[in-house]
Amino acid sequence: MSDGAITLLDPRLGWALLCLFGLLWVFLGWYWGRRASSVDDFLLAGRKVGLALGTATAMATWVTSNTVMLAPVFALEKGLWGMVAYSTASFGLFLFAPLSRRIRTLMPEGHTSGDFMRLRYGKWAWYLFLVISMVYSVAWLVSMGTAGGKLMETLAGIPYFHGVTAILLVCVIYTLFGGMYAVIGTDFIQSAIILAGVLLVGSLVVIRTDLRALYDTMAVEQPSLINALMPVALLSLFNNMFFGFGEVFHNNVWWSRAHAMRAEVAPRAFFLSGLLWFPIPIAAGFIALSATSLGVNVIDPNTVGPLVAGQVLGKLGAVLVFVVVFCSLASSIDSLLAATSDLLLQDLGKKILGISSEPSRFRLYSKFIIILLGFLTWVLCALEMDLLQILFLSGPLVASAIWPIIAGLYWNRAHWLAAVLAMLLGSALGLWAYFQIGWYTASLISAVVSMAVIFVSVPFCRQTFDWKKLHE
Amino acid sequence: MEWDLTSNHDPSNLTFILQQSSDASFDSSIVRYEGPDQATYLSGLAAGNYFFRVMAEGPQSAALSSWSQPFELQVVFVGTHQVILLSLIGLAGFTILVVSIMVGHRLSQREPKVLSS
Amino acid sequence: MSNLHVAELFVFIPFAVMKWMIYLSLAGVGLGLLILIVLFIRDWKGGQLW
Repeated sequence: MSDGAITLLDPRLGWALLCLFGLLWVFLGWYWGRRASSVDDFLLAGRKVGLALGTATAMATWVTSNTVMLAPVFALEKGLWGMVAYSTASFGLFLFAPLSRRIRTLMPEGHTSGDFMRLRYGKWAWYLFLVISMVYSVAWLVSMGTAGGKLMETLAGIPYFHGVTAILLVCVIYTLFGGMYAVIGTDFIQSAIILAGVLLVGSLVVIRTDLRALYDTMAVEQPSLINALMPVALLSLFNNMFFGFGEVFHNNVWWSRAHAMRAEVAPRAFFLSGLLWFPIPIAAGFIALSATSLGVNVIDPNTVGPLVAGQVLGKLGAVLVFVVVFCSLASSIDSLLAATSDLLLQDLGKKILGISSEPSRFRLYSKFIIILLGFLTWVLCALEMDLLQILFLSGPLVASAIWPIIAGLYWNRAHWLAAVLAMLLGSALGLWAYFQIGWYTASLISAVVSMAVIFVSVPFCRQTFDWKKLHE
Repeated sequence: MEWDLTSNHDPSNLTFILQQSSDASFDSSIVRYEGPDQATYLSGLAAGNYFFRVMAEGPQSAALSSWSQPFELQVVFVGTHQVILLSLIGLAGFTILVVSIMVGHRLSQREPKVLSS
Repeated sequence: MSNLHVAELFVFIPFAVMKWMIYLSLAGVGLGLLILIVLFIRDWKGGQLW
């Protein structure tokens, strides 16, 4: 039986892989960055991204290290239904497809999700939205950086601080060089690697596992994992879904992609990306269930994925997991850096602080903000702040923004005050539910409260919104 | 679940056996783990009471210790009412959301061009 | 107050469902990879990449 605490790769090999892929991403960032001749090119890849790259970037951005490393934990804790519950996070991508069409129709020259909130609802809703978005974005960014450092340490014995620094440095550099072109281009390669890696490891585990024997053993020793009505799995099903809706509908990572793609491509790309994403948590997660039958003693569930991969594929499996995890981290961090800096630049910088929008200076500010955001992330990661907890707490915050966005896009009688109240009450009651009832209720309650406020407000709204006001 | 040796014996040559039973007498039990590690992750237990005990064996399966004191574990799930209520709320919220987006999408496609030049 | 016991909330997922869930998820990942490659080639040939 193997010990779950050992590292899988020699640190030198880990560093070699980090440097190899890091240099590749940086080179590609520089190479593709030469295409960017205008601010729109740098921030939104010229607004002409096609279906292949559009689909890949949406899928890869949504595949985080959590998808690959946490899915096995979900399988171990919540069983088969738990993996399906995780997969429902893809529904956010499916449903963003029609939203992206509407966004492109209403705001063909739009830049950020903040633009929409400001023009649709006015400054108070916009300010509140920005606070929610920044809390979530920074928490996501830092949790990715922290996860990267911990994973590099677990997988290859690379000291945490060094791993964090290396990953963030690589992502900041190639995002700086190439902007959205670099982000989207590298996302395509990273998505192919992630899919190939998950397929290879999963297939080999299936070949080497007697599924019938596995099932029979689970029926005796871990029956809850094959219980179709396992309570925590059922509860997390809808909660995860609403957390996912909130994350995708509100965040500038997805709005910037909607603006970067060709208008007719965006809906299909998001829908396809949802389809591509859906099976990944199951394919990556089920291997945890095979651990014992493959002779792997699970001690720390967070390492079960790499351990099983190492068991079936030896050193190749360990290399594959390392590379897949690095790709899933990079594909999310680069998108977050680009989109969050874009939001800060456009909304805070340009609209609130009134910085110059002269193209060459604007692009300089954009790069400065990417560096600043990268540095802030690095500092928070270095402090080893447990922002994963903050990320989960942001669930009710982002879920409260779901209905203001849906109503704002489709209903011309959604009032700004309703949007503000929906976000405030949804967030407050969602956070209350998180601490008083349980984490598995927070996003659900937030979304439902927000929905109730919006629905109740519509009959009282006398004004109808002129959609042309969104064309700035 | 973790276990430690009470003596200063070197644990590296030992095999630990972890037994699980639903009664304190261990009349019917299963072996949950057998190997050199001093911990194992347990999950997926159905609701109920469980008892665990561990023993150490030396080389050639020579028993080195007697069984440890049983450790009692109670597995309790979230209440049925809460699960059903929250699931129904979730299903309703999800349905309303999907229908709203689909209807909004359909109606918006029938709108005249919003931004005519 | 209902006496519904938690143990009644127990329905085993059949083995066939588990098996096909795993097979289909792997097939889905493989198909996804194929779709990405095909789309890439199509966009590249048509000059529609970006």
